[in-house]
Amino acid sequence: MIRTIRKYHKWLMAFIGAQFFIWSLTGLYMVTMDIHYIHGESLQRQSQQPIALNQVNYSLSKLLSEYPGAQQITLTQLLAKPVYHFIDKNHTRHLLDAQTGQLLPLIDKLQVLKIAKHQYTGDDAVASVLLITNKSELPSELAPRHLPVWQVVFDNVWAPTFYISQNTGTIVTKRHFFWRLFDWMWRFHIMDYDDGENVANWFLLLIALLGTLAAVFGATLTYQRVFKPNNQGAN
Amino acid sequence: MLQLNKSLHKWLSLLVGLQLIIWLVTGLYFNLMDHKKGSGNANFRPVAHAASELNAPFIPLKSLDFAPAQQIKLLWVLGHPYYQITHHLGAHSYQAKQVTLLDAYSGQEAAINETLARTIALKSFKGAVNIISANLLQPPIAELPKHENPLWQVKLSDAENTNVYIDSNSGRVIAHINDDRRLRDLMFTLHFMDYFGTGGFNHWLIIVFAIATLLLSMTGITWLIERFNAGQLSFAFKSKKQRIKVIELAQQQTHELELKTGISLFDGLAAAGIVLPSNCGGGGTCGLCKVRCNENTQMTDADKANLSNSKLEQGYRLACQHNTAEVTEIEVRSRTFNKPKNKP
Repeated sequence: MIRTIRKYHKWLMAFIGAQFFIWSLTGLYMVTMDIHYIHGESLQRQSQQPIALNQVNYSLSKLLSEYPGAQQITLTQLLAKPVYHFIDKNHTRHLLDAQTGQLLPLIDKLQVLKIAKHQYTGDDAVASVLLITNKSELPSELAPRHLPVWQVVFDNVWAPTFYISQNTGTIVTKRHFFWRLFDWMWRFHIMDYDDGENVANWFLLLIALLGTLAAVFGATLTYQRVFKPNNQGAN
Repeated sequence: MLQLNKSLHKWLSLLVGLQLIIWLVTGLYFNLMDHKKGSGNANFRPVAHAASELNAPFIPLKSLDFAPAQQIKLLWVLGHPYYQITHHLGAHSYQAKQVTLLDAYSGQEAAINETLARTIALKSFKGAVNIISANLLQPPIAELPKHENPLWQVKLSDAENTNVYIDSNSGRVIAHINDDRRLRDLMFTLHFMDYFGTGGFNHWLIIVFAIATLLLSMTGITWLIERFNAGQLSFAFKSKKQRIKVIELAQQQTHELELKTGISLFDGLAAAGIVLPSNCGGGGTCGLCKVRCNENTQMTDADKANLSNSKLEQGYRLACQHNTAEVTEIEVRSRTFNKPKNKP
């Protein structure tokens, strides 16, 4: 019996043991790297400038009367000025000067550089700035709902990257080497090698089923060796 | 070295074995589960909060007095407008926030009270249901350990024992936690080894186990490579036979056997009905399956670790650590001796 189990444990692991190594290596990376660090929280300054309320001359009532049905109305401070951003009834995002109520143009390159520099906790220079407006140019790490967006990459070996909405000037997401690596670890962990979104793939099912069998065989061997060392009929 | 590797493999497997099987079984659950059900949202429906008409003009923000704010949102809760004034917020919505709610008509300080929480909970649920209780819970919240803000918990009387959690800063439904969701959360707790309720997977217990598991798989792979080098992970389907003369000491009998090559002597003899004593079943660790061969037969690490020098000099070797092809004549003292098969 034990002889047979040892043979099956060996042969099963000869086929899928590499995945156990991958599971434990990728798992170790994911549990040791702090998830908040992975999400780039340390790249962005947490405390923003408080809103200069004394400059907010354009009221919310006014905004709602001029843009009826406006949703997700938010007042924040952007580049030392209070601004509103919201979605109108046609689902278009707008940015308004909260002092005058004027529609502000889309965030330009100069402004985005200022925002990025101001929010970045490091002191690296900006390596590249790219405007992404089209789904066809969308990097896989960015969701299409964030378009149009500025991609700002800082000059650092870990390539810290801010994605800044061209509509609102807010940082919609961040990336850096360790997050990108984390995504690859995840893909190898769940054995979905393209976009890493499908835990329910048949390949994982097959290997995990065989893996469970191999692990139970292994546990039987350990039980025999540790708790039944005097049993000599291991066949 | 290889003996240490085997020993490490055994003791590491004793340490992490049970958790490793838990990881595999919960992994299979995540692979096969119904994600919609598992999210707890099977009976969830969105709550309409916005009103189409204003009853009165809003009180201007400038005329109100409150601590410095990073963000102010116009928040609709069941048709009523509030200023949601955020003084401090984290990178994620579940992280601790400092928020003031002011009635946008009157400027009075407001809160998501029990009446609002109860109404929102019922509106967020598909189908008729009663409320058992409503309580404002302070973090840490047992069913949502990650959340760092006070939440309303509204217990419903449905068959799935749904608890509706509502953010006390916004009136938004954070989660429907029902029995399906509890099962999924239990699976996550098991998979993340979150036995101390941190709500995450960055804790020392799982880090220690992950390191041990990595070592377990590395010692396993090392062992497999060793087996491959020893010729016992042979993928070739050669039908070669080795002719071996077996002298059985217990029965004082001699047999001429033809054993398959590419397997261990231990397995080959067992297939022929000659069962040697063993505890480990062919791992080269218990030292019981010794047979006497020609003294010139190569000594493996496992032989040296398990047999005395005098035994080695006399030609004793472990049958599980040698291939059938290495020997032509052996002496064995078997446990059971069935009528040998594979006779030429």
